[in-house]
Amino acid sequence: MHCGAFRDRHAAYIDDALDDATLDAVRGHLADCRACAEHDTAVRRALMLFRNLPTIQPSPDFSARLQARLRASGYDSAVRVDGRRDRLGDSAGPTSVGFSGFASAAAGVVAAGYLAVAVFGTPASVRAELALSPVVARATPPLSLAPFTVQPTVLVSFEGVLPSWPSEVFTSRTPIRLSAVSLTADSPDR
Amino acid sequence: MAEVALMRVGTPSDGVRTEGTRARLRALDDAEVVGVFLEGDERAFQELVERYQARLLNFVYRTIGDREKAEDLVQEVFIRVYRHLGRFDRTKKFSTWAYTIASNLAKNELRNRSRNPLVLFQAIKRNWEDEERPLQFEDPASRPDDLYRKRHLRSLVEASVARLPEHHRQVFVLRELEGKSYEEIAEITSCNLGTVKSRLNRARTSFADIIAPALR
Repeated sequence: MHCGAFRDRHAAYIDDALDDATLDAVRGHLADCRACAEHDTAVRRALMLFRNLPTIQPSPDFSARLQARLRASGYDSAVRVDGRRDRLGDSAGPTSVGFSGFASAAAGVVAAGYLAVAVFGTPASVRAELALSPVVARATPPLSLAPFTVQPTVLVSFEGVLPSWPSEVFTSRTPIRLSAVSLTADSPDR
Repeated sequence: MAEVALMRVGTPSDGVRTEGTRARLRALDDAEVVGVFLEGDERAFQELVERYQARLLNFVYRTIGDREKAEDLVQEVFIRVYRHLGRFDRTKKFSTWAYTIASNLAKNELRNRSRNPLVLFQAIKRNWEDEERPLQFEDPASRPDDLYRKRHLRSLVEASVARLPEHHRQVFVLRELEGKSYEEIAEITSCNLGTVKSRLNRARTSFADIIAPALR
């Protein structure tokens, strides 16, 4: 047996949990290997010290404090979690409501609210507050423009050729129509 | 009712009856005592408390190193036992279940301490104050130098255990102080058997290495 194998089996050796063959091998190694023998001695000494530590005892008021804590926790004359009522107490003390209970209650409230909305619909006040007015593009009423007239002076200047319409003709009509479009909030009643 | 179970006092005839009940409960094994409790006899709970309070206290104390907190945690163990005993699988060992609860609470305590250095400081300070108490309460028959040597040795051992990693320390204490089997330790610490063996081996070696220089 080499040192690694000995160290692997050392815990079982200390606990007397080795089979006979392995035990013989371990003892043979201890007889041959000084380092492992020293290790074995050191561990056994240390364990002996630890095992002989004085034990501590609960303080005299341990039971009284436990009783007080049980009472504070609501288990004094209460229905226990397992649903069994104490024989010695009949009063309905506080019970512990766990997370599952809380989740069930919350789910119930949500379901009831959903059902109420489905049955009775959304109140008008809520609708008015929550509904957004649609945004529509609406042109202002058509402008009443004066009939187009070309100034005689202009035509005279282009006599004998194709008439070239003065630019003021376009700038005076088209841009006004385009720029007259305004965005307004539509009435929710539409 | 827990109060009745823990503080049962009454007339002399009641006392005789109570003593008889106690003797009867003491003769039962853990599983039977649990059965008596589940049948409604709350005195069985007190029997479980008496059986395990010191053992659990020593286990938790050796794990977390703070006596006062250890008592609080052991009380918490019993509160949980009282609360959940109805769900306890009676095919399993009661002691393993109780130690599992204690082990988990001790682990949580150590985790909380590592997050809150102030708590750790207060625990160390309290232990230091305990060490400063007069000697005469310990062992009046011992000579002062003997008392000093014993106390010093005890401090050394406790300090050495405290230096073990938490997961090694738990296995170490369960095995060396409580005498639990590997299988029980595996169940209590939620580890497999191989891990328990490995941790125990390492814990023993580390502990010996830590304390060896002080013993020379």
